[in-house]
Amino acid sequence: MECDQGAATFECYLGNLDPVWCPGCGDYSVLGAFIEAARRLQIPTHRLALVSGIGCSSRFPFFVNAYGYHGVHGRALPIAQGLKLANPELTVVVPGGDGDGLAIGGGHLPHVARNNVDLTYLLFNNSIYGLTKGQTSPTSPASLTTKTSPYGLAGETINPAVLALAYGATFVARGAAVKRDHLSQLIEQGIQHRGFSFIEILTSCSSFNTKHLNITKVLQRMSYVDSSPEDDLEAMRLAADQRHIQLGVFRNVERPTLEEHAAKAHQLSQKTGVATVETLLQDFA
Amino acid sequence: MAQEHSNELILRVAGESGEGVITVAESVSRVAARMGLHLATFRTFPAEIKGGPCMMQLRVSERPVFHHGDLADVLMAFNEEGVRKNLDSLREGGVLLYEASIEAPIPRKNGLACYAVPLQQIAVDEVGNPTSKNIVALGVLTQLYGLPKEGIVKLLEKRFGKRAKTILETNLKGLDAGIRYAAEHLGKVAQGRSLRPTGSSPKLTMTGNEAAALGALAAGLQCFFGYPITPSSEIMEYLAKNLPRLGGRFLQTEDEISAISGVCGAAWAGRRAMTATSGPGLSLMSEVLGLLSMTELPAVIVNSQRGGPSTGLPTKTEQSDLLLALYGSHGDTPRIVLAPSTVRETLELVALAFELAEKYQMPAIVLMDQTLSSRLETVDADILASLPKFPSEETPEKPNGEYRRFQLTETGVSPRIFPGTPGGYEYVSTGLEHNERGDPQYDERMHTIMSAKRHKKMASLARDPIAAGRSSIFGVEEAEIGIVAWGSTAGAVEDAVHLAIEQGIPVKAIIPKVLNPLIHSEMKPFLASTKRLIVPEMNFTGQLATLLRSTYRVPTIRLNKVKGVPFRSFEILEKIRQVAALPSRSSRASDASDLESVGLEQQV
Repeated sequence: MECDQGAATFECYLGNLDPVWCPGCGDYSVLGAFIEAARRLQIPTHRLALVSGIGCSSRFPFFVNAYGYHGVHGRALPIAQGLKLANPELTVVVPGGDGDGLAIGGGHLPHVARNNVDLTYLLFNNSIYGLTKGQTSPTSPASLTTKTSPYGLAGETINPAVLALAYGATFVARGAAVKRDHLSQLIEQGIQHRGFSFIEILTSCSSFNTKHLNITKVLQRMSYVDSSPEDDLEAMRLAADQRHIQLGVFRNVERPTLEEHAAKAHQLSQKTGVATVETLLQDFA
Repeated sequence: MAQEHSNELILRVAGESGEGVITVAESVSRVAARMGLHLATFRTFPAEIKGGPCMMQLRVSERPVFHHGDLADVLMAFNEEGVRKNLDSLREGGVLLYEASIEAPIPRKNGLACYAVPLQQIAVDEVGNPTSKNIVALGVLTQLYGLPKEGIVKLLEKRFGKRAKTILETNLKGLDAGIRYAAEHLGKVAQGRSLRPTGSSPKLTMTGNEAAALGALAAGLQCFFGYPITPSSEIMEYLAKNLPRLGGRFLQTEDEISAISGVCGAAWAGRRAMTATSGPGLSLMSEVLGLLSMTELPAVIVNSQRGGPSTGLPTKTEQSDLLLALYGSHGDTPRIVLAPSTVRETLELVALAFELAEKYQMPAIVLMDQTLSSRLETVDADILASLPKFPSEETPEKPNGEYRRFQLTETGVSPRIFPGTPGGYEYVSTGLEHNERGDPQYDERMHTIMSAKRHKKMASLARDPIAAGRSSIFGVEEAEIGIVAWGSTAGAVEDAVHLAIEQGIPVKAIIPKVLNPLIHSEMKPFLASTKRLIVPEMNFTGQLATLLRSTYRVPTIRLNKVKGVPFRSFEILEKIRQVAALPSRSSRASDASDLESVGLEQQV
């Protein structure tokens, strides 16, 4: 197949392993939406790097024909940040779940967002821990009873898109696995965006927490944001809307990326003259 | 001891932090280095940001020295506390120079020559600025110990010349006033201890932290990720400024986990990457260290040890991270551990760490400690030329047919391809157990094969000529008493071994620099020819002793110190004397507890 010559087909992006997700899992749809976006953008597979942590959705890289790094729980973003800084030529995409990104890895999101690393973060939000078989996640609803919350859950539910807006992510959107074409458009925009793109993806676990995410009810509450709001307060209001589940782009702005800052630092540092290890050593004479 | 060596001086300067103690000691150090003398220093840091007691000791000598010396020849004290706290560190017959305005009585000690010097008065009268008293003190020392005045002037010009002409003039005035005072009033103080320039060329002076940063740059560092932590922060500060100048990338991350993760990502991209930290940071990095071992990526981690556990003694020294460096992570995680004992070695071993990490595709930890990090030492100006020329393989060899990232090979090392490489090499690396292709596969057979593959690299490394011949071995070859020491403790051991031999006690020592994997071809002959083995370490439990006992099944006599300050050579000498006085044994002691019963096992 002519996969690297600008004529890549959907099949070109399919990895050599078949997905191991449960039947009915929303992640299949996200995989399709992603591959469709990659195909439309004709990203050469050797330029595509997927970095993930641990969780059902973090298995994503195995099912895509691209370079992939499946690391440890919660550290996908900082690994991806190192990768992008080291090689800005790569298109870096981070797929991961709500536990991986907002619980164990929650300390990294604010910093990768404010650094504005040019990568696309696909946050699969199914409000449950699937891989460990059904414990509560930071996005579980307050009332949820699970194996680890038999008397109900303590703590408020995190709204991922609101967090990303607060952290200064330059592209923030929300899509849903059940709205595959819309999601694919969002992913395409996210990859094209120069800077940190955060896409919250509502998806459902077919094995655990199935009652809560009754897809028919969710579908009834979904509503689309037509165009990304001009000001941050409006973006926040839409992302935090309790009555409707707003889908679409909440923010799409530009500011210098981490890689651009690094290039500028290199430029500024040359003002004191070109240095080599030999000349640096002379400072110690 | 020092008086037996000509052209050698041990000077201690003490006072309140902010009084310019370090300026005085560093100026003397740098000028001595320009005279071609060798240098080793030691300084303490108060835990406070401003104020607190401050001390720096320096030893300059015509011969190479790697320890700051047990007892000083000269103590220059700016305040009463500086006298009181440091008098015991002055040798018998030494010289005490102290600020004349100190009101408390100066304790008298046998054979000490004490001189009150009106540093502050001179600063007020002749410079018009009481804060110049440290420069007056520098003038006094310049005159007494034969330092070239023009050398000091050059240093001051470099420091103040460009931005503050008036400050420079004030300082030069203070320097002259100190020189004049010493010439008029302290003529006999020096007791013929004047330093003389040597024939050898001027040397560079740098700290261990600076050497670590330079070693990394010399090895082609491309990406640095770090989180500030005492006592290693100067490494990241130096690289923040200078790595971008060489085209590299620098990032201060939100924590140490992010730092090592950044290194991991950059390493996967095929760039030379490192981080620098101290114990608490290394603890946080443990999980990703395991990931690096599992996905076979190179990484360099410089760890400057401080007193632990927990926050411990952040500004004090210890050697208690050895076992963490060796084993810290779940599962079996092959990694390289190197331990330099001098500033020069720090530069060399950090460069070596990059080469070994790249070649064997695993993390390499360089263990320093607070004393080594802050120690100012002389390094030969041609240090770069003496670094071995490592082959740098920029483009990985492209295998034919199906690419297998974790292909089983003779050495255990598999061909590495970086993301971005065209030609159908796409693969996924995972922290899960995997097959040769990299796909998850964690059946019993595969885990056994791949565990062996990853550890095979350790065996290959242990036989590699670039890791060999780095141990320092000194003393009497046929001696029955042997010492194994690591890291910055080596300097005190070297002095102690020389003193013991002078006193007629045959003793030898080995300082391994590669602690993982241990180089058996160097360790085994030494241990086999040793009947009594002393292991001095700055930790409570004897971590190297534990490693030696478990690896070589040798009994050890531990000497442990956890006072936050380095060994003095007489402490090690005392242990050697005790061990030499033990009743002779027909063969090697079979059980360490024999020695424990005579009270030698542990000194706290």
